[in-house]
Amino acid sequence: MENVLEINDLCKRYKGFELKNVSFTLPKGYIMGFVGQNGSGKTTTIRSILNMANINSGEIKVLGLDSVKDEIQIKQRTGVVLDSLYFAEHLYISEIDKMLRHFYESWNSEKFYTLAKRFSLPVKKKVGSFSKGMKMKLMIACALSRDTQFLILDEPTSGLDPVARDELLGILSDYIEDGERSILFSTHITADVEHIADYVTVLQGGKVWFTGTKDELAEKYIIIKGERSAVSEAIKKYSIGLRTRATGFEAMLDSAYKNELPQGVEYEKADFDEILVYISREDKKGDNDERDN
Amino acid sequence: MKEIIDLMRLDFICMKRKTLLPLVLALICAAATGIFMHPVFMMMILVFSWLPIEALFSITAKGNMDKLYGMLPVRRGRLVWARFLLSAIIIALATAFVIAVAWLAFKLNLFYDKELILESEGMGTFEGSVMMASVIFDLSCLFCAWELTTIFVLGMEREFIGIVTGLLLMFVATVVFVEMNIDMQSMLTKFATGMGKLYMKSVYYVVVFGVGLAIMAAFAAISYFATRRREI
Repeated sequence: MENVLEINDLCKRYKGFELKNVSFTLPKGYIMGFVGQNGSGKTTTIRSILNMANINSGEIKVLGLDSVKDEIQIKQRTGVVLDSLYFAEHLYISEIDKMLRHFYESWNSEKFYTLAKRFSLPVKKKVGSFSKGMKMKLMIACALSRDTQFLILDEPTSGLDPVARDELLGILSDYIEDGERSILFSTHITADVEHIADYVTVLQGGKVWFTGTKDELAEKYIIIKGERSAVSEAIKKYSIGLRTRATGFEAMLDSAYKNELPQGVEYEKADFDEILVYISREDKKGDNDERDN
Repeated sequence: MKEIIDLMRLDFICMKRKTLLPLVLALICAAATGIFMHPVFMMMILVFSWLPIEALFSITAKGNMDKLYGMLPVRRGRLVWARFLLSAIIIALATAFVIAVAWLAFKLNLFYDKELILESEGMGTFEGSVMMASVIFDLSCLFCAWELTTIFVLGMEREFIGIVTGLLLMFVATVVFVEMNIDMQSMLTKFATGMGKLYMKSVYYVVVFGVGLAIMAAFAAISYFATRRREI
């Protein structure tokens, strides 16, 4: 299967934060949800893909091209949508068309205006007065007004109302319809991932916890609960985000261990929100352990 | 070069509506001063002719446009050359404007105080005004290059350092100039009357305008090397 994005052992260090050997791939024709809580390293990874951040080590290939050496070619063929508008607020849509059309070989002004009309973007209003949803649609119109094969969206749905979110997810579904184009979108709203993604990569504390298909993730973890006395050494060792209370315990566990659970421990499938919460707990516990040592 | 031209076009579209009205008003005031008072007085506009570029930095910073620059298919550092080149073009256009107005002023001879023009000797001629403009062109390039370098290297939030140190430098340069007791007026008079030969004039203008452009290029290179690996 041809990959649109390949990240191998990406390391990027900042003071107080680092991406640790981040590796994942996105096959052509699919949508990947790039999930993690705020500060987990999603935006740093996206900035590294776009060569906006200088990576310390590792390799990133986009559309088969090297992210550093072939930066210009990659940017010609990739659309990017960020969580906030990147145009001066006093500009009109017509000025944005004039500003961008010279940069992209495949820019199509007619398509840009058609998309603006389809998204109901007012051409006679300054973009600064647009609603959050309209600003998002404007950035998508910019990304789709040229021949892109890959779309990167950084937290596109945060701050959008449910209707605007649904519209956005519809637009993304249309984009990959021909099977030739792919999308990487980062989010901390797991409902969007459940709704639209084919693949999921979970990032926490700068490292990849899971990467694979959405169905694999849905099957991978279970939530276990039981009496406090049922917490065995094996549970302590293999569980993720174990929390004990006077009345009992709860934790997440790889579903591969579900047949080895002691009696009295109940389990159920973990949903995406729970997976994120337990991973975050485990990550914080790891940080505390490191500090204690 | 295409990347730089495209960036200049983007910047120009971005700033034109925000800066057009103040610019037109400033040009009208300068032209009126030059035509009805003395062409030398309007030269002040030249020193600050690059201020629209500073406004551009504010506009793009406020609009999070550094993200846009990072996403565009252009190499890092091209923005530095684009901004310096756009500034040089603006200063050159402003210089051409004051020279054109000076020519018109001496043709129309509508000066309110004609005595003042006569007393100015060298500076009271079109030739003297052109020479004055050429010197101020250099000063403007220096001030602009200093400010742009401050913004590129230290960031927009510290731009005041560039303005304060720039004005301080100009103040010191003025004091030194006065202390050196150079009679600018008689110097310009000598230039205006003595440089009759065309090639002498040509050499003078090539050198003086060349110095201004060289200053811009040198500071652009400093800014480029200081920021080319900077993350966006």
